[in-house]
Amino acid sequence: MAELFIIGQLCSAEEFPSKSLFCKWSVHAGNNWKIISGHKEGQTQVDSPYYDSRTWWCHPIDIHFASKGIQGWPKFHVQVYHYDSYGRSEIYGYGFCYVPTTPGTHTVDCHTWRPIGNLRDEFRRFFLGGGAQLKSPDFVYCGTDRYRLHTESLGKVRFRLNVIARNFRHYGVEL
Amino acid sequence: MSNKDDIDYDIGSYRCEGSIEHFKFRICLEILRTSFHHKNTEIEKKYTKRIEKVFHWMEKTSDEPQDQNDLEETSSSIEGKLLDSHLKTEFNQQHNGRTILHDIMGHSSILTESFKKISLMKDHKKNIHFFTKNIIDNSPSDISKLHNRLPNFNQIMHVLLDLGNNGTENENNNLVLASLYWNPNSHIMTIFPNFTTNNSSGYILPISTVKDSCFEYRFWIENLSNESLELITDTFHLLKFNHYEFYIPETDTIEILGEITSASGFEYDNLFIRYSIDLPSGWKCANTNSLNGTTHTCRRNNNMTSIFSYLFNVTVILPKTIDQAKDQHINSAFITFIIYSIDSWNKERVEGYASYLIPKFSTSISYKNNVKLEAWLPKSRNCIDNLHRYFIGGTVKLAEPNYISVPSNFNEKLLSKFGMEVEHRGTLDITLSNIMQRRKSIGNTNNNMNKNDIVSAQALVKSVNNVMASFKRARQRMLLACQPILSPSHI
Repeated sequence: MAELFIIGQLCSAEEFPSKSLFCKWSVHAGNNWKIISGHKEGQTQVDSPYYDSRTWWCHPIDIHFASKGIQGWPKFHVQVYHYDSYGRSEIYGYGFCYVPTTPGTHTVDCHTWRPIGNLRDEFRRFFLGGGAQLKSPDFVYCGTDRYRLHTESLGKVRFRLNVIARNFRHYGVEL
Repeated sequence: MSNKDDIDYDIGSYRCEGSIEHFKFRICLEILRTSFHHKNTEIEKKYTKRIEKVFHWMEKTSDEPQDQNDLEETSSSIEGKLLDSHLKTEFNQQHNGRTILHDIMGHSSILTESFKKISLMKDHKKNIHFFTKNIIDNSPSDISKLHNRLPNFNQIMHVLLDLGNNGTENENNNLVLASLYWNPNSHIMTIFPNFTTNNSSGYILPISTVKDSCFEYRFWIENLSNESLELITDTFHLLKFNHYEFYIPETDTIEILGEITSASGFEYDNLFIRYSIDLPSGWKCANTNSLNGTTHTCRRNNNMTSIFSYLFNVTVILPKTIDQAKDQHINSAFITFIIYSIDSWNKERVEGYASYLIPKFSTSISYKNNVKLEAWLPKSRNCIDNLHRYFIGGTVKLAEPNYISVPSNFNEKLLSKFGMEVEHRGTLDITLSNIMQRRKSIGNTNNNMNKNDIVSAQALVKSVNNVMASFKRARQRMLLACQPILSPSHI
């Protein structure tokens, strides 16, 4: 059994159309991977910076994985939401990134996008907020021909992760 | 006979590998009636009654009331932990929606088949509608927004024992036999109390008395879907994991983890990218479908960047005879990206080609963040081609995408691409990392382990020797110090 420790934080978000954001994150891994301790998902607070161009969360992440094969390497899945002055929270972006495969400290930028509807939907979203969201976030993993899904580019979420690997080398895995 | 204090009311946590719909469990209830007038044990056993019932997940049942006093009624209720009661019904609707979505995911192969037929562009709009309708919710309800937003969204099922007479509703008569918590995101089921083992004497509920009789309720919970559940309780999972053998392949494998991050600088908007991985002869891939794929179509943002954040992974199996020293210069796998744009009239244009050579051997810096690939496109000097591209789409394309690097049918010594004019069209950002796993060599792993053991044993002996030596030195010093006191002259 090899083990992987992911210790770090969900630092910040930038380049989003507006501030006052919060983020729901989760980590997904294949069947070879089991979480021994730590939370596999979480939700940050709402950060509404006045002057800073970035939204800061500094949300801690501490996950301990046990692995019996490298297939299905864990990946992060983030959903950024905007919390507006009327108390509505609308989806701002979905993003995915792999956990770095080498031990050490890494800064990982997770870029996000959101699905867009037709002109009427966009018009409505512009004035009334809301807008399209994925029926189930699991869908982003399905399908090889996803080009029919129209999306819009949004900002990026920054992770700062420390990765510690144990026993991988015993099984011939070169990290 | 064990009583309640002897039995641990453990919480069991299980990871469910299959679908939760297949989960079922059985509850056996034994009711023991003791009359106060009889103290003989034989008479006590005379009134024992045993009831069994199999429950499926979220099955809402209620048995017919049994005869008076020995009444047993079981029912299950569903409620969301994070939602209060008035949202209960809406939550159920959401659950149904997820079930339907699950069906569609099951048919993804059919979808994929149909999407591969690019020639069916006339059905494009229809397919788009079908695809997006199933994936995107254009006007999500409040409950679906809440559902997607909140983590740890547990579904709860209680099994109740109703002790009421003649079906009268009284909350005091309801006893919770078992509570099951299911997290659909993490696929973890928590059950309280835990499943009983084969030889267990069961759980005992508080004894109730009716008139001159005393009722004792004893129950067992058995898991009937053993294969789908795997024990991960806090106390046992480490032991369990130790039994897991780490998978070591027969031949060397490379696990390529890639992410198509973004594309910028291209002429048209609404980009999507097709990628394909070409493997040299002798190299294999376990899942050939993973060798190519397509991202979603993305509109660029204010920074003129289209963001995909599309993840893919490929497991490449290397030939057995590969030798690192000799085969350093043979062809390695390379990944080809073709960037397309699609406009509002569904005109498709090739925006550029880019390729990247995947390193054959992973190094300490095999995690490469933000690799920038410059994309190029063959340039045409023919004005008609440019007009063609501008007005009705289409463009000068490469006859074979693998011409980006070395064509597959190329057998000569010198590769010359002289004469092909290309122009730079934009930049593609990717993140690539490859993990290499060496083939099974039992000697190597054992040797490593033994070396560690030897080193630690030597260190232990050395430290013991050090302690012994220092102890001897201290003892000698003590003897020296005591010598004048013990000497006869001093006495």
